[in-house]
Amino acid sequence: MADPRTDDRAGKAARPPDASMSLLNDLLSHPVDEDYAPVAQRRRGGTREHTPGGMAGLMAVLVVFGLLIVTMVLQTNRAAPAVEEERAQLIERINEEGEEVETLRQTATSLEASVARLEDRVLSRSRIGQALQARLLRLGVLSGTIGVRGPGIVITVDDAEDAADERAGQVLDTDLQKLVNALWVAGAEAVAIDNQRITSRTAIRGAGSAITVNYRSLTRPYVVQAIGNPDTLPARLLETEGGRAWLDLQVNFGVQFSTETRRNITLPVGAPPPIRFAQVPGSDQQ
Amino acid sequence: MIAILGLLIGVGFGLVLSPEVPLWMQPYLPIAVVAALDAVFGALRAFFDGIFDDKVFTISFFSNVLIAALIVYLGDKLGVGSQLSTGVIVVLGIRIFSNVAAIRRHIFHA
Repeated sequence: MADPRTDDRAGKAARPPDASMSLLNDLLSHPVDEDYAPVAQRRRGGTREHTPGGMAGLMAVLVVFGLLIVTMVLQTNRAAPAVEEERAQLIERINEEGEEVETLRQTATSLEASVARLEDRVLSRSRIGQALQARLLRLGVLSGTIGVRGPGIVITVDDAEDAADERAGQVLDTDLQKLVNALWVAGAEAVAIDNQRITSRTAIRGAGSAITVNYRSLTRPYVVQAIGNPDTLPARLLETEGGRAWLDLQVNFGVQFSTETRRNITLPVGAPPPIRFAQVPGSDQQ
Repeated sequence: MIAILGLLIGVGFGLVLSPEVPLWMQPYLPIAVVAALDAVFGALRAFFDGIFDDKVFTISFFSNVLIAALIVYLGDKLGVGSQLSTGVIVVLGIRIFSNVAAIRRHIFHA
């Protein structure tokens, strides 16, 4: 070869023009450190001598190598159980706290029941008390602190079936708000969505992709139950602004909306957080 | 012979001392170990090829380890640490594989 740039490195013929680019080729055909070959070439004439220094170096390298490997393995082994343990502890704590919450909730429910019983007993003794009791009952129905039962309608709403335009056909939190408001306007006395009673302090809002009511996430389809006059409620609902908006949604976006009347609907107690600070002005209660 | 002895001494040291890896070293050690593995398999192949040289091995071992750690360090500084680590592992993995294949050919003639 008359190429002046002929590589003097071992066994290298003229390099193909793409030599510097073919990384994988290079990797596969020259996996040995290139250094071994030229050194061997240079030494071809002489004999392979074992110098004590070289031997010591080799030994040292392998000691380091063994140390590295063992250290790494030990390190990995040490880290694994720690991570696992941390995870298990977290899960355990979550479960414990969940149980605690459940116990407290049960206690609260039973205490509320006994308060109601005591209240009943005290109030039913006097005429004023009985009037108060009737008023409490009425207010309780409206504010959602008492479970109620009665005739009404059940509305089932869901996202549009054809998911061609997913965003447009989705039931939003504002849609449910409109529907609930429309129900109140139409004369509903008590409303619940997916068995979550709507009280004066209920929030219906979107949290990510889910809608929450009373801070509980709901799943589709949404079942809205309303107690009221089953004969007039559906018709009056469609006359309200919210009802018309829902008709619009149904026609234009294919959002599913179906109404049926029921003889008997039971709605649960909504559990609004107790009022601690607000007071009626002029009342002498502390 | 002396190589196996050295390896055993290193493993023994590791087991007895079981050194704690300092925190700043932890991201670089795995890559360094793989680089060391690559150098060792390269040396083993060169040994079977009859061109092994202890000086070359010593230097290539330490430079491999150092460069691997350096690449990861640089990648960390540039914000591509994990990608670069993956790249280094892939390249070294391919080298280790083909070296081991060559060793296999030497030993089993297949």
